[in-house]
Amino acid sequence: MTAVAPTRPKPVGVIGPSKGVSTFFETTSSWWGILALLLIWEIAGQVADLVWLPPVTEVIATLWQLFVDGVIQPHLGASLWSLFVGFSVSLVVGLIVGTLMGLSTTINSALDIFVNAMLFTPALIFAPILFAVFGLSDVTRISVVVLYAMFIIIINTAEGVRNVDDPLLDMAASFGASRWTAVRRIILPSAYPLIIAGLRLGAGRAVKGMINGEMFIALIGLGGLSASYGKSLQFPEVWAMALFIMIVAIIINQGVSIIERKLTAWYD
Amino acid sequence: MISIKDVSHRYTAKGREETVALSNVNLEIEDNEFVTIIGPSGCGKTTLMRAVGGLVQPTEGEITIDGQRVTGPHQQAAVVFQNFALLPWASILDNVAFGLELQGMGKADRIAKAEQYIKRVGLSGFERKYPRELSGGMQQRVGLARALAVETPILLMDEPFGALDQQTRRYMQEELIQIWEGDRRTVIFVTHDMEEAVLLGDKVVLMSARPGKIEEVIDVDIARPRDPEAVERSEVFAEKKEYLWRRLREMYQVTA
Repeated sequence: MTAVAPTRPKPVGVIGPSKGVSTFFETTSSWWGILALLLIWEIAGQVADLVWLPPVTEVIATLWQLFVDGVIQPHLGASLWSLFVGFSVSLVVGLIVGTLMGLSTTINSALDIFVNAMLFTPALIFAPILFAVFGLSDVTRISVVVLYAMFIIIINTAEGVRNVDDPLLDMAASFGASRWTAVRRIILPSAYPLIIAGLRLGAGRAVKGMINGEMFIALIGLGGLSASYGKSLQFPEVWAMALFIMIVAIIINQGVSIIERKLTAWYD
Repeated sequence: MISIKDVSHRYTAKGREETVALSNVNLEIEDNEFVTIIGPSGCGKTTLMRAVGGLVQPTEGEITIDGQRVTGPHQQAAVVFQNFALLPWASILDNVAFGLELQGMGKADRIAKAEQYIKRVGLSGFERKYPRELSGGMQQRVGLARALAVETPILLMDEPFGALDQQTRRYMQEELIQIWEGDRRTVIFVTHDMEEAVLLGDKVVLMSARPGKIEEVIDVDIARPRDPEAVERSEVFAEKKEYLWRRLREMYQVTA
């Protein structure tokens, strides 16, 4: 089984001290880098005059217009809803299945190969089947999110549970702890850092799943909107959506990292 | 009284030959007696201690505590572990209260009791610290306080100072003598240190390896309360230590 995160999780995209003063400025690493990139983009767009590379000012204006016209908001709402539901389902199922796999070698050997296969298989492969079963309903998109996010949570949770320090279990047993008490008071707390790392990785994958699922169905959500612009070759809108989705992804990643650091403050 | 009758224990590790950890062990330990167990590695001294705690179920024979047969972990004994076995995510206070918590004691009561024992082992002021912030010696004080706090009549100590440096170990021995003489329990103390065995014990149980059995029980007739420095200068101490070493050397000549 592959342990996908290090025991001591380092937040992705964070440069510098991982604790203490952590601001958006610090974590986006360098405003200068971003500014330079935007400048190059702007000049290239102006000079080259390619239909697929509109200047950044035009892209930003387009994005602004999408908001002003109220085009983007309902899609954003739909996206975040399927992300929220899909991630919650992944969380609950992932923690339960992961804990069981970590505790029982029988369950582990039964599921291990499937879980690992699903981790590396692009879940979009299953989208047509989900579409056939659930049609245009939210369930299709939510399912894609779950298929993206759940397996990394399972794997990290199982690994964390398996890595429990045996002397601690011994100690708990010596004070008369039942199996369930040992799980609750020893195994899960010691698996906690890996579980939290799994949740963070899962959140990133959930965002991917959200957009991919929507692009496949091409009707609803940020991904759906992007796909429909793509089909009609509206490049400024395609760029505007890409930019916006990146911003959403950064905000979600930052949020999850902050929660992660709060939750694992004792662990260092 | 702890009574160990005809206890043997064998186990088979995966893909290995059967190991006889204990062979026909008989031993009686009086209430409030301090018994140290010493012997070469592989002599089953830890297994014997764990069997008294119910953490190992011997394959033959029986162990009784005040006439009651030991069949699993019980509330007559608490264990102090060589590697401390502290919860890294819990404060010193919560670590000491952990045993009490598992026994279902209410929060206010167990905090009061934990604070009392934290004081007794000399860790007042460290209640809110975490194990990683403490030195090895201090961590083992936490382990000792946790075991004392459940107030069992028996204390099982598995090479508790084995992981500490020599000065710290020496200091902890003195502290343990003091704590124990003020609050007597029955102690089974496993060690591989001859001086420690004689300094602490009322009795030294000498075991030999393969198969693990009791060679001899040596009475240490040094009066209590013991002043460690005076003890170490005494003739009895030197004599017992020398005798232990002679016996242990014989065993090593057989096995090594």
